[in-house]
Amino acid sequence: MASAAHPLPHVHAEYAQTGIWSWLTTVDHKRIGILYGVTAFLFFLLGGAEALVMRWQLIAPEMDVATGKTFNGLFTMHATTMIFLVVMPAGAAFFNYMVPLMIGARDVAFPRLNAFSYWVFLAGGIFINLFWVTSLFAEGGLGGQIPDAGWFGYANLTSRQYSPGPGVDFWMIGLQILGVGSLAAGFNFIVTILNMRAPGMTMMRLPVFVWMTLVVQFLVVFAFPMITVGLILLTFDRFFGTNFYVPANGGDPLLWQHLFWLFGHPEVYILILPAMGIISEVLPTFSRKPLFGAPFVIFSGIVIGLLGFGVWSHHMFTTGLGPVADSAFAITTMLIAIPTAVKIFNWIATVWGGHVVMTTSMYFAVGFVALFVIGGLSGFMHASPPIDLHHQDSYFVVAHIHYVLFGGSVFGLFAGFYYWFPKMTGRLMDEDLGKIHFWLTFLAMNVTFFPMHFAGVDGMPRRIFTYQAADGWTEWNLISSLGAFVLGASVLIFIYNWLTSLRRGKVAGNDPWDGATLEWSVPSPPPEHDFDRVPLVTSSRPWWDAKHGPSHKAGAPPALPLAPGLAGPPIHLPKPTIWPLVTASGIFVFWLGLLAPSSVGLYVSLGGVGLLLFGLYSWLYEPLE
Amino acid sequence: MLRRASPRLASLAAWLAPLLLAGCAWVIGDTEMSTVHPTTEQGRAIQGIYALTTWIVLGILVVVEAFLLYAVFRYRRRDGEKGVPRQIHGNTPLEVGWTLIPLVFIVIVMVPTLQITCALQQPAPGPNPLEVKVTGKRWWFEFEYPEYGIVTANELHLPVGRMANLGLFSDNVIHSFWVPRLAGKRDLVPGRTQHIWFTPEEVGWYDGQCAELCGASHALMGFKVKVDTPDEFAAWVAHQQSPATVDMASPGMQAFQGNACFTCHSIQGTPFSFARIGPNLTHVGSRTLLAAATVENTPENMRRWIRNASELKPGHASKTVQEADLMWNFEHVPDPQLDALVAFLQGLE
Amino acid sequence: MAAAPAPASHAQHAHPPNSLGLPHIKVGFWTFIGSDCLFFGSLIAAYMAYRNSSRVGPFPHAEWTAPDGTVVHGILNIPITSVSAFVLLMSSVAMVIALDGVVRNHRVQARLFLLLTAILGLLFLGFQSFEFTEFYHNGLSLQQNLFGSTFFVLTGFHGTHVAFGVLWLLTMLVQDLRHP
Ligand code: HEA
Ligand code: HEA
Ligand code: HEC
Ligand code: CUA
Ligand SMILES: [Cu+2]
Repeated sequence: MASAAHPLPHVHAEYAQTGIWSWLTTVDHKRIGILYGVTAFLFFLLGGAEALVMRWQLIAPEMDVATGKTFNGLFTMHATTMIFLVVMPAGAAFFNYMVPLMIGARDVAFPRLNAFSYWVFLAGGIFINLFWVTSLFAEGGLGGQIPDAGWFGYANLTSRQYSPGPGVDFWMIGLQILGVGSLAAGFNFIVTILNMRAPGMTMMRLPVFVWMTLVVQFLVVFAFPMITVGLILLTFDRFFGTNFYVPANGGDPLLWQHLFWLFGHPEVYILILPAMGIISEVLPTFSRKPLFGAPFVIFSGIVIGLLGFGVWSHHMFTTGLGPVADSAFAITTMLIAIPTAVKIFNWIATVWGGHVVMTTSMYFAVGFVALFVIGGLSGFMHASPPIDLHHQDSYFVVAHIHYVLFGGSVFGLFAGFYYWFPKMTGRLMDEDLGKIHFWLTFLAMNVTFFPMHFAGVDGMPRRIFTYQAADGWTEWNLISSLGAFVLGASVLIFIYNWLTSLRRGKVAGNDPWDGATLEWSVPSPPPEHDFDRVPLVTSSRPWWDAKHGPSHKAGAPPALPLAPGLAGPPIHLPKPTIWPLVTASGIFVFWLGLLAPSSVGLYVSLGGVGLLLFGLYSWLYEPLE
Repeated sequence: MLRRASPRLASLAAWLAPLLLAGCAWVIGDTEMSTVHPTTEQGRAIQGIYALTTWIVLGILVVVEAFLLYAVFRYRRRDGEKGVPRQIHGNTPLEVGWTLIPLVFIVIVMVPTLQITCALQQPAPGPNPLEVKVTGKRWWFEFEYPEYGIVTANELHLPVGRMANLGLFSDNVIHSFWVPRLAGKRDLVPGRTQHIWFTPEEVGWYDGQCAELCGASHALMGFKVKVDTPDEFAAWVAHQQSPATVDMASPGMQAFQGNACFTCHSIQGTPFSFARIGPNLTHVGSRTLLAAATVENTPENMRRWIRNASELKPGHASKTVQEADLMWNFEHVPDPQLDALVAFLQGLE
Repeated sequence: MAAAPAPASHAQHAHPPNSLGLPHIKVGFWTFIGSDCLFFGSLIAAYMAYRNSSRVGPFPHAEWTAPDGTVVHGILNIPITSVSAFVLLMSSVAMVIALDGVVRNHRVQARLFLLLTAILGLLFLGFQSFEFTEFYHNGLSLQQNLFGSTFFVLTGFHGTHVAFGVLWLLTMLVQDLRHP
C-alpha cells in the first residue's frame, strides 16, 4: 500500500493507528467513517435477519414461526434498524470518509464533535436493541419486550395503556439519542462543506456527492427537531401521565402523525439523496464523461429537499383530512416527480455517448437507476389520493418502500462501496465475485419485491403475521420468501468478497478508475493528514483536468496546482481524545435511568448527567492538539 | 467468469421479466380482497384513475428503461478503444424539455385525480342513506344500526341499491375500515368522526379487513359484508330485532352468568343486555365466522375460543387491568359447563 | 460545543482560509439556531393546536369551577409574564454589551456584563419557578389537562434552555477569570 512508503515530512504529530484505544479515541474523519460503515453493516445483517424471519413466517398461510407481537416487533425493528441504523450511518460513512477528501480539506470542521456523533449513534443503536437483553430475563420473552408499534409508531397504540411493555420505551428513547448524533453531524458537515473548501472550490465546483451531502444535512437539521418533539411528547405521556396523545382527555393521535411525517418524508430523502450523490460520481467516472447538466442535477436535489417538507400528508390520505388538504398534498407530491425526473434523464444522458466501463460499481449504479424508477413510479401512483385509498397499508406500499430503499438507497451504497473501497483500503474488490454479487442481488431483489405489487393489488394488507389460503396470496408470498433467501445468500457472497479482497485484493494505486475528483489525487489509503499540499481548484473536475486537460503534458505525472501561501509546515492534526465517547455514554446512562425500576433509576439518571457534564468539561478543557 | 454475452442475455431477461409481469397485473387478482374489481360507483371512480395512472406509469417505465439500457449497451467501451469520449457538459434546451415532459403527464393525471378526490369526500349524497355506526374494537368491528336498534359484530348486512353511510369511530386505538370491492379505506381515529359511503350494487359476500396496525391481533381483525336483496335484508333486520328466547335456568345460561360473561357480552331478551365490551351475542349462533373472521363458527372452534382465546388470537387474555377490553382465557371452566355454554351460544341463532 | 478555535498562529500555516470568511463556530451556531427554531416551533405548534382542546380547567383565560367548588380565573398572569419577558430581553442586551467589551478588548466591561447576563437569566428562571408554583397551586399540573401538558413542556424546555445558557455563560466567565 502506497501510504506506508509515503513520507510525511510536514506532519507535526502522528498518533497511534492501531489498537482498540486508538479506535475509541480517534478523531480522524477517515477512521470515524470506517467505524460508521462497519457498524452499519453489522446492523444490516441484523435487520436482514429480522426480515428473513418475517419472510419465513409468511412463506405459507397460517405459519407459526413468529406471530402476534413478535411479528409486529420484527417489522418494527427491521424498518427502524434499516432506516436509522443502516442506511443513515452508511451514508454517514461516506460523508465522513469522502467529503473532506473531495473538497480538499484535511478534516471536518469539528473533529471531536464528529467522534461524538458516532458514539452517540452507537449508543442509540444499542439502546434500541436493549430488548434483546431484557427479553432473556422477562417473563413473556421477546414478544413482550420488542418494540412492536411499527417504525412510525402511531399514537395512541404507543401509549402506556396499549403498549404496556418496555419495547416502545427502548424505541422512543433510542430514536431521541440517535437524533442527537444526527443533528451534531448535521451541523458539522454543513460547516465543513460551506467553510472548508479548498481555495478555488466554489459551490458550483463542488462534486455532486458533496452537494447532496449538504442538502441531506440541511434536511437532518430541520427535520429531526420535529420528530424529537413528537418523541418528547410521547415520552411525557408514557412516563409522566400527560395527555398529548390521549383522546379521552382531548389529545389527538393525528398530532403525532403530522409531527412524524413532517419528519418522515424529508427522512426518505435523507435516505435517497446520498445514494443519488454516489450515482452522480460513479456514472460519469465509468462513462468517462462529465456529469451531464451538473447544475441541473444539483438544483433538482435542492428542489427535492425543499419540496420534501411540503408533502407529508400523503401518508395520511386515509385519515380523512378533507378534499382540500388531500388535493394540495397530492399536487406537491406529484410535483416531486419533476426534479427526480431531471436527475434520471441527466444520468442517462451522462452514459449516452460515453465509453462505458462496466465495473461492479457501475452495475450497481445502473441498477440503481433502473430500480429506483420503478419505486418512484409506484410512489407517484399512491400520490393520487383515490388510488392511495387502496394502496395505503397494503403490500403495494411495501413494494414501493423496497424499490426505493433497497433498489435505490442500498444499491447506491453498494455502488459507492465498490467505487471507494480501493481508496479506503488500497486494494480492489474482486470483480468476478462482485458481478455475481450484483446479478444475484438484482435478480433476487426483483423476485422478492416485485410480487409484492401483485399481493398489494390482490388486497394483501401489510403488517399481517398470517393469512389464509383462501385469500389467494399464497403464491406471491412464496415467491417473495424464496427471493429473500437468495438475497441472504448474495449478502454472504459480498461478505466473502469483502474479507478476501481486504487481504488479497489487487493493489489499487491512487487512481484505479481514472477519477475526476480530488480524492483520487491522494494515496490509497490516504495518509492521516489527507493532503500533503492544499490544492488550488480551478474546475469541477480538478483531477481529471490534471490528467486530461490541456495543461497536462503527455507522459508527465499529473499534478494539481497548489494553493498559494499554504505550503509551509507544520500540519497540525487534532489529538485523539476519549471525552466524546465519555460524553456520549453519559447520554446513554441518563436515559437508562428512566427505564430502571423505582428510585434507583433517578440516581442512575443523575449519574448519567454527571458523566455527561464531566465528559463535556474534560473535552472543553482539553487542548485540541 | 462472466464475459460479454452471458450478462447481456441475463440482463435482458432480468429487465424484461418485471415488465412482462407488470402487464399481467390486470389479468390476475380476482381475489376476495382484490382492489381492481370494484362493484360500486365509488369503487369504479377509483378504478378509472387507477387504470389511467397505471398505464401512464407503465409507459414511462418502459421508455425510461429502454433509454437506459440502450445507452448502457450502445456506448460500452469497445475493445481497444482508447482516449476519452467527447466531453459534453450539458444542453439547456434538453433540460427544459425534460422538465416539461413530466409536467404534461402530471397534469393529465392530476385533473381527474382531483375531481375524484373531491367527489369521494363530498358529504354523503343521495336521499335516505342507511346509517350504520361502525366502531373499531380490539380486534373486531361492532356494527350498530340506530334506525333499527340493532347491535351486531363482524358481519355487516347491507341492502342492495340503498346508499350506506357508515360513521366510523374508535374508542381505543386507530383502525381502518377496508372492503376493497366496495370502497377504498378510511381510518377510525379515536376522538374523531369519519364517514365512508357507497351504494352496493351486487348481492353477495365481501371480505373486509382492518388496515391499520392496532396491536397483536391486527392481522386477525377481519370482517364480512353481506349485501342482501331488500327482502333478505328486511328479514335479517326482523330477526336481529327479535330478542333471544332464553331459559334462564338452563345450564348454558347458568354458565354464562356464573363465569361473568355478561360483564362484557350482551344477550338481548335477558337481564344481561347492556355490556358493550365484547361482541353482542344475541344471535351469535347465526354468524358464519367467529372472532372477527378468524375461524369458522363451529361448536369445536367456539369451545377452543372460550377455553383459550389467546391461542386463536394473540394478545387476548391479558391479565392486566389496562386491558380490560380483551377476551379472557377461561381455562378453569369444567368441561361439562363449557359444553353447555357452547351448546347454548350455538343455539342463539 | 467543539473546542476553542485553534490559536491563530497555527491556522496561518497549513490551513486554507475559511471559505465563507466566518469562523466555523459561527456558521455552526447559526445552523444550530435554525434547527432550534424548528424544535420550539413544533412545541409551539402543539400548544397552538391544543389551545381549545382541554376538557377540564384551569384554562389560560376562561374561568373554571373546580370539582371542589373553587373558582379559578384565567390562569395566565400577563403582567408578571411581561416583566419576566422583559428581564430575558434585557439579558440579550447585556450580552450584546459584553460582546462589545470582548471585541474592544475591554475585559472589565466584558466580565461585568457577562455576569449581568447570567444574573438576568437566573432572574428569569426565578420568575418562571414562581409562575410554575403559582399555577400548580391553582390546580394546573402537567397531567391536569392539555393546557397544562403543552404549557409546562413548552416553557419547561425553554427554561432548561435558559439554564444551560446560564451555565455556559458562567463557564466562560470562570474561564476568563482563570486566564488573567
Ligand atoms: C428512499 C426512500 C423513498 C423515496 C425516494 C420515496 C419517493 C417517493 N414516495 Fe415514498 N415512501 C417511502 C420511501 C421513499 N419514497 C417509504 C419508506 C414509505 C412508507 C412509509 C410507511 O408507511 O412505512 C413511502 C410511502 C409513500 C407514500 C404513502 C403510501 C401510503 O402509505 O399510503 C406515498 C404517497 O404519496 C409516497 C410517494 C412517493 C413519491 C411521489 C416519491 C417521489 O419522490 C418519487 C419520484 C420519482 C419518480 C416519479 C420516478 C422518476 C421520474 C420519472 C421517470 C419521470 C416521469 C414520471 C412521471 C411524470 C410520473 N411514498
Ligand atoms: C433501507 C430499508 C430497508 C431494507 C434494506 C429492507 C430490506 C428487506 N426488507 Fe424491508 N422494510 C423496510 C425497509 C427496508 N427493508 C421498511 C421501512 C418497512 C416497513 C416496516 C413497517 O411496516 O413498520 C419494511 C417492511 C418489510 C416487510 C413487510 C412487513 C409487513 O408489513 O408485515 C417485509 C416483508 O417481506 C420486508 C422484507 C425485506 C427483505 C426480505 C429485505 C431484504 O432486502 C434484506 C436483505 C438482507 C439480508 C437478507 C441480510 C442477510 C444476512 C444474513 C443472511 C446473515 C444473517 C447472519 C447473522 C445475523 C450473523 N420488509
Ligand atoms: C373482559 C371482557 C370479556 C369477557 C369477560 C368475556 N368476553 Fe367474550 N369476547 C370479548 C371480546 C373483546 C371479544 C372479541 C374478540 C375478538 O374478536 O378479537 C369476545 C368474543 C367472544 C366470542 C366471539 C363472538 C363473535 O361474534 O365472533 C364469543 C362466542 C365469546 N366472546 C364468548 C364469551 C363467553 C362464553 C364468555 C364467558 C365465559 C366471555 N366471552 C367472556 C370480551 C370478553
Ligand atoms: Cu384494527 Cu388493525
Ligand atoms: Cu412520503
